[in-house]
Amino acid sequence: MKLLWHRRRFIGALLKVSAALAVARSALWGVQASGADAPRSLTPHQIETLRRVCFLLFPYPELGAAPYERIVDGVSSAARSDADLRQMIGNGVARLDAGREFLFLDESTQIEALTQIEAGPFFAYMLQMTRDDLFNNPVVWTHIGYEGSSLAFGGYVNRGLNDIDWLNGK
Amino acid sequence: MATSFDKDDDHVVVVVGSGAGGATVSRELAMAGIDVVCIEAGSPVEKIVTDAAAMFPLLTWLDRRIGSGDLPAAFPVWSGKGVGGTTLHWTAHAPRMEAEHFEPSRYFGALDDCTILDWPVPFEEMTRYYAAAERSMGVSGTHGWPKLPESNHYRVLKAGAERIGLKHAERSNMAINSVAQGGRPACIQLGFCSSGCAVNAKWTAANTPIAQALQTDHFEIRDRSFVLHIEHDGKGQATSVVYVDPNGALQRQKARVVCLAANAIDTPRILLNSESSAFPNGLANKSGHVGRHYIKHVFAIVTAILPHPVNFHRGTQLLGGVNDFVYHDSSRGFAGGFKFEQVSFDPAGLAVLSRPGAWGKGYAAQLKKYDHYAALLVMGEDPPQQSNSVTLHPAEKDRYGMPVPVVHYVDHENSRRMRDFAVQTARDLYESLGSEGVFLSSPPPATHNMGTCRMASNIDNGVCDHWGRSYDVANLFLSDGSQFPSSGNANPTLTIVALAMRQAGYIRERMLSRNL
Repeated sequence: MKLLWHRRRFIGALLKVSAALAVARSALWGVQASGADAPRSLTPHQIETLRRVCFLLFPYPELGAAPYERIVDGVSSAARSDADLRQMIGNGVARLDAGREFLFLDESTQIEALTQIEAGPFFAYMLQMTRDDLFNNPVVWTHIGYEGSSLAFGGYVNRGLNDIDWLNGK
Repeated sequence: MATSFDKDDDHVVVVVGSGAGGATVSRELAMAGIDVVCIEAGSPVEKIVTDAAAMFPLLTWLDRRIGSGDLPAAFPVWSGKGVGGTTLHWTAHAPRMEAEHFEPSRYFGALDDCTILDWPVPFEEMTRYYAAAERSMGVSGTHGWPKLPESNHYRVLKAGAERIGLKHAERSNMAINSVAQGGRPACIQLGFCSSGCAVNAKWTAANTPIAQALQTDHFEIRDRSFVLHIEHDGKGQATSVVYVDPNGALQRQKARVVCLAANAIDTPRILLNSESSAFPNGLANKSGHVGRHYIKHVFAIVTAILPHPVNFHRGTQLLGGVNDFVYHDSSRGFAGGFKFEQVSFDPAGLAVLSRPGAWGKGYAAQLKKYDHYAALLVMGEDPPQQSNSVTLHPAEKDRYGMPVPVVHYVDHENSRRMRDFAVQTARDLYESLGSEGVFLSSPPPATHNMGTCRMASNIDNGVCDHWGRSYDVANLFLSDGSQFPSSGNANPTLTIVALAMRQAGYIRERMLSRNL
């Protein structure tokens, strides 16, 4: 719970510093959505597509779906109070689906579709959100060899600060 | 002791900003019995946790700034906001500037389009203040305090340096306790230095000079207070500082002396926003130099994947470097010098930096070798250019109605040559260790901001004299990195603290003799 709160706050800060992204976003999709009856949640199809996009950006199949669901939970909750963001996601998913449904494509075609939208703000937003959430996830940390905070163990001063033995060989 | 001063009390010194410069001037004056009101835009940081994502929004200046030229547009500068300023975020590398870097005209003299200026402060005098600054900060490696212990990451850097024939891989002087002193414990090698030190082994302006000033009866800090402009009287003396208090109300604090230490971005911003009929181009800006000559160090981050684990997250983020290129050597094909400094990143930082914009299977596999990474940063001397600048956006205002700053910076050709040489050397260094890949990051946001209100021996060349005193406004001082006429290639904080101690002595003496 505490961790989740920290993560949300971090995402909030990132959104704040992503002002250029916001400008680009409104310039490209300057549609004022959010009439009283505009849906405030992402659709199940959008959510599934975003999860797949997150996975393709940094695929660690051995970790299962949970880390990618966590990223999209964050995006989804940010989108609830941000009509521009919902609009951008809607347009981004629609572009991925253009002509055929993205989720049904094979992996290499999906990667190609992502490459085609790489220059746009939807892709930049998803890349940033994925990177910042995935690599702030303790499950991923363990997987890639990051040990996280050592405060509870008294720091690294007596726990491997200077323990490598391969430098004198070779 | 909780001291407070009346806003109409015009005998106080008002210090704007509580980072390295502002906190040091405040402490020096308050301990000499001079009443000080320090106005800080951020909040006190009550608790530091070993969680970079959680600390980022608590420590970082997130108010809007616009980057232009080579700087990231949305986040051009990574500086601190909070009691203690950017020292909460700094990695605590505390080198002195070398003697030759006080006279950059000797090696930069012939560069085109540059506004090279030598320091008006005698180097011999600086060495005294450097020693005093190191003592006040408890810098390990000075005054008999041992250096911090070697780490894996440092040993990797040193081994690579030696393999390519470099001689000066050295652990640095760090403002991190190697032994308990100053009421703070010894470092336990947490590795979260730039997110704030959870055990306070790292010196910050908050845990030392601000804490010391608060123990006198002569110091009040007003946090969450955002300075908009400075007012002056008919004689051109600064009279008061206008700020927005935590409730959003406009306040005016009268002042006998004003010291500006709001970082080299917001210091000129405040002056430029203080225009009047007497100072149509901004306060203290008759010379036109306010906001000009912005320098930030020639910077690059190189990451490498080594054949065996390094675990570079274990221990202080910065511990040592390679100092073979610190001095100018015309045979290298560029003017000036640079340092290599080892630096580590948490996974989120590494993912952004190692290969900017990269994604997909290959990059995921690469990042999975997090524990095999090593990294260094290149920090070189940056020749000042008139056009690199901090200006006010003509239309866009922040939530207080203050114009948003535009930070413009373009690399000089000399800097590109220096960076290319440095990056190639870093590549050789890591490849000598059998690296599987060496990567150059895109330009990160600037953290070392200098030069925008520079000191000069001549009124036509700068904003202030060698004490940091404005040429135009006799009771206005520049107390942060904005007064640097050149960048050298040392991290600036120690020099900011040394200059602030020197300046405070001058202010004290002038006030006692009723000349201020």
